[in-house]
Amino acid sequence: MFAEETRLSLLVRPNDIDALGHVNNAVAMEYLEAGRADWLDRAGIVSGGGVIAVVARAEIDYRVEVPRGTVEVVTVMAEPDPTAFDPEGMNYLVRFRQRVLVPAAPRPAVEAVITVAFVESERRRIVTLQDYLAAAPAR
Amino acid sequence: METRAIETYIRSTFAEYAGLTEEELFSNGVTLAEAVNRSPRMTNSIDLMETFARTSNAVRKDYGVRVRLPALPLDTPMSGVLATFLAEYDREAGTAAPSARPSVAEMAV
Repeated sequence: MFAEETRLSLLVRPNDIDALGHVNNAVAMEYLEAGRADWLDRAGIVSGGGVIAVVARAEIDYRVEVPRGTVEVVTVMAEPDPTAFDPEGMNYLVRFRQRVLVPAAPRPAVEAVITVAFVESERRRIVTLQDYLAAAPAR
Repeated sequence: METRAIETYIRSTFAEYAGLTEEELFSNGVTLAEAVNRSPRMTNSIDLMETFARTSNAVRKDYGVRVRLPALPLDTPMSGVLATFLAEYDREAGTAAPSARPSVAEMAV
């Protein structure tokens, strides 16, 4: 259920472009977030239910300029191992490995490892991925 | 005093996941905050919680006992954490007399 690599195509908006005529570095974070939201959707996970996924760490390399046009956000769950996920276990972190691809570039324009944790919104405390999944509303 | 097999297991498993030696973790009153600082694999308290969770998952897999640690302040020495871990293990395994859970403050994240 979690092993799928997802690919989301996005159109670069005019306001994504900065003074140098390329996508601003902060906007790339929005693209990555959209990629993770798409990953959740395709995994059948509905956000909400009182437990919120939050970014705990972002490691990003900007390698190639992103021009106007379209980009593709590739998202895969790296940790915990999606092929060995234990629904009865405890995991406080999920790490996503993500790339932003542009059609003309031979290598990823952006490469990132995004670490996500889970916060119970009412009590403001960290809970597990398993708690997050249990709290997610049924689709 | 004889070291229990489960204690040896917890110490070595936690050290492996933290990327440190047992000596670096459990000697001279090393605290949770110092363990995070020393570890090449932990950068914040959420990483610390994950390391404990992975240790708990391993205990459950190899010993069949589910241990869920209470939140601990970052100035807790590792020796105290180990004692809490063992107490929770005994409680869950039914090998200790019932007792109240340790009273601890919420860990800041």
